[in-house]
Amino acid sequence: MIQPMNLEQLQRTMAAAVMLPLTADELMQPTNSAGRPMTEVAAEFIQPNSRLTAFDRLEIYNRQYWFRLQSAFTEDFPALRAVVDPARFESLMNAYLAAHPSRSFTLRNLGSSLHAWLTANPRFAGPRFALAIDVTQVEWACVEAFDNAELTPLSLAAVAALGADSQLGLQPHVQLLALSYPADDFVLQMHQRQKRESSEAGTRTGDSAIHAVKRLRLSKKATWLAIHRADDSLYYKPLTRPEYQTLAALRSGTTLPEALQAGFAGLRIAAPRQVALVQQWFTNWAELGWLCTPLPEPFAS
Amino acid sequence: MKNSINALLLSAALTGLVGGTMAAAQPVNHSSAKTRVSAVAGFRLASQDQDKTKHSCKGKNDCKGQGGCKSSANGCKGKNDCKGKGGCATDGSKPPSVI
Amino acid sequence: MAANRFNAFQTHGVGIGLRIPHYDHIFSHKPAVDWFEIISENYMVDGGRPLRMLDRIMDQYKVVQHGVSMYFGSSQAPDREHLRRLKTLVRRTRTPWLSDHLCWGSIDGTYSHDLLPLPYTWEAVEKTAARIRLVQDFLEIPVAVENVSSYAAFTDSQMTEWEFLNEVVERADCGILLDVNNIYVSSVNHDFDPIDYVNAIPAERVAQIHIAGHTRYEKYILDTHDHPVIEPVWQLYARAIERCGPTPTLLEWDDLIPTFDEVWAEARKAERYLKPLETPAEHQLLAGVAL
Repeated sequence: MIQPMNLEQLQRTMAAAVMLPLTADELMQPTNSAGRPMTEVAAEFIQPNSRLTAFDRLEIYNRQYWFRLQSAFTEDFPALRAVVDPARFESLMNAYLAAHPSRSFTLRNLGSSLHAWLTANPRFAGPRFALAIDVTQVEWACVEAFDNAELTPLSLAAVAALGADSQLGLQPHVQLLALSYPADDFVLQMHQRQKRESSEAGTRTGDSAIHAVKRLRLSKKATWLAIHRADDSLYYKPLTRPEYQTLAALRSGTTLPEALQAGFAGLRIAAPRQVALVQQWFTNWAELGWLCTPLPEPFAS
Repeated sequence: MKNSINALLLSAALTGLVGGTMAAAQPVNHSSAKTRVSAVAGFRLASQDQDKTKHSCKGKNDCKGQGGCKSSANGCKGKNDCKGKGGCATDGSKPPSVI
Repeated sequence: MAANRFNAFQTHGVGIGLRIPHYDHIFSHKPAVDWFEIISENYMVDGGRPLRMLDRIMDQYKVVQHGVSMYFGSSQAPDREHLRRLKTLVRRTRTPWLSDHLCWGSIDGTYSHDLLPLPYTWEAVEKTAARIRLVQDFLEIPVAVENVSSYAAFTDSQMTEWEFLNEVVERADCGILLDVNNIYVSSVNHDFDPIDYVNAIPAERVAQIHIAGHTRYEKYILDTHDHPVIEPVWQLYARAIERCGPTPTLLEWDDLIPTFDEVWAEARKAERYLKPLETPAEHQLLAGVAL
C-alpha cells in the first residue's frame, strides 16, 4: 500500500509532472525524467473518472502550463521569433523555459534570463546568433522600460548641491544597450509590420514579416542606444559611444568626474568638442528627467 | 592639463544639468511639453497599443497565438476553433506590440 | 447578508473585469458600470502606463482587486516581495476587499502560473487557513477566497470541495468569492450536482460572486472565460442570490474579448436576479442583518 503524500510532497510531485516538457505533438510525455511511466506517476495521486484516466487529467494541467508560458514568452519576443524562424524559436523557447521556469509571481519577468541563457547556448539561435542576441536585448529592454519605476528627477536644488565626489542615479526605466547590429531599426520595422498585418488580417505575427526577415541582410554596425519611457510611451534614443559609456558609468555608481572620464576613454576627441558634447548630453538627459539621486535597492542595477 | 579638462567637463555637465532641469521645470502646456520631450526622446515606439497584461484566471487551451492549433490529443477534440479567427488572443490582452 | 464584513459592508452592484481592449471605450464613453475588478498582478509594477491607466479608472469608478498568484493553498511561505507589492497596490486602490483563489501554484520558488487544485485533506485545510489569516493580517483588509475550476481530483481527498471550502473559510474567518461558473465547470468534470455546492456554502460569508463563460470539450469543460454565461450557470447564480441576497457580482471575460457593450450587456443580465432587492432600505436592512 502506498503511503499518502503530505501536502508539500504532493505539490512537489505534481509540479514536476505539470512542468515536464511536452512531446513534439504537445502531449504529456509517456515517462518522466527518471524513466518512470507517467501513467503510474499520475495514478499515485490523481483519481480517474469515467471519461478521463489519471494521466489524461494530469495532462490537461501539463499542457496548460506550457501553453501559458509559451504564449507569454512569445508575446515578449516577436522579433526574435522572426530572426531565428518560428520552428527554431519553438525549440529555443522550450529549452529556455525548461532551464529557466518562472521564479517570479509575475509572468512579466519570464524573459529576464534569456540574454544570458542564449549567450551560453548559441546553438538555439542558429546562424544569425549575433543578431538574435541583439534583438533579445532590445526586446527585453522594452519590457523593462515599459513599467520600471520613474523616480523624482533631480531638482535644481539637488543639482546646485552636486560636487566633485557626487554620484548620479539613472532612472530605472532607462535601458542602455550596446549592440553589434542596428537591431533597433530592425525591431522597429518588425513590430510595425506585425502590427500592420495584425490589424489588416486580424491575425497575429504575419508570415510575410518572417519571410521579409529571411531575406534581410543586415550589416554589422556598432550601435548604442537607450530605450526609455516618456509620457507613457517607449522611445529608442540613439546614443554615441562616449554618451553610452558615460551613462553606463553613472549607472554603475561611479562619481560624476569618473563617469565623464570613462565616457571618453579610448576615444580621441578634442577637448573643446568634449566639453560641448557633455553640456549637450546633460541638458538633454536632465530635460528628459533621466537623472536622479543614486538609486536605493532594489532599483540599483 | 588633464585636471583642467576634467574641471571643464564637470563644469559643462553641471551647466547642462541646470539648463535641462530648468527647461523641464518650466510651466508649459501639455502639448508643448510633449513636443519638447519628443524632440530629445528619440524615436517613438508606441503609446496606446503597447499596453499588455499577462495575467488572468482563465484556463489555457491549445491556441498558442501562433497561428493554429494542433489537435492530436484526445483533449483537443473540438478545439480547433482558432483557425480562421485570427489566432487566439492570450490572457485577455493582445500581443505586446511594442509598437 | 450581501453587504457584510467580508466585503467591508459595500453594496457594489454589477461590475466587469477591467480589460485593456476596453480602455478607450471606458475613457471616451464613461459607461455607467458600478465597479471594475482588476487583476492585481497586472498592476503590481513600479511605474508606467499600467498604473497611469489604473489611476484614470479610479478617478471615475470603484475598483476591487482580484489576484491570481497568492496561492493560498501552497504548502510553503508566501513570497515577501509579492506581499509587499500587493500591499502597495492595496494602498493605491483602497480596494474595500481583496480576493484570490483557493488553490496552489508554486513550490520551492518556482511558479506554475496556473490555479492548481488542492487535495481536500485536513492538512490542506489547516495550512491554507493559516496562510489566508497571515495574508489577511498583513494586508489589513478583508480577504475572500474563490473556488476554482478543476480538471483533476486527488486520491487522498477526505471530503467534498464544498466541505473543504467551508472548513477553510471558517478557520481563516475570511469571505468567499463564489464563482458559480467554476462550480458548474467542476461539477461536470467531477460528476457532482452543482446545486448541492451552492446550497452548502455559508451564505453569510459570501463577499462577491463571479460569473463567466467556458468551453465544453468532448470529455471535460475548460474555464476559458471566452463565451457568454450559459443558462445552467445563471440558474446557479439565481440560487446563490436567493441564499445570499444581492451580492456584488462580476462578469469575467478574458479571451476573444468582444466589445465593451457586449460584455456589459452580458453582465447586466445579472440584474434580473438582483433587482427585486435593490433598494437602499433593503440594503440597509441586509447590512443590519449581517452585523
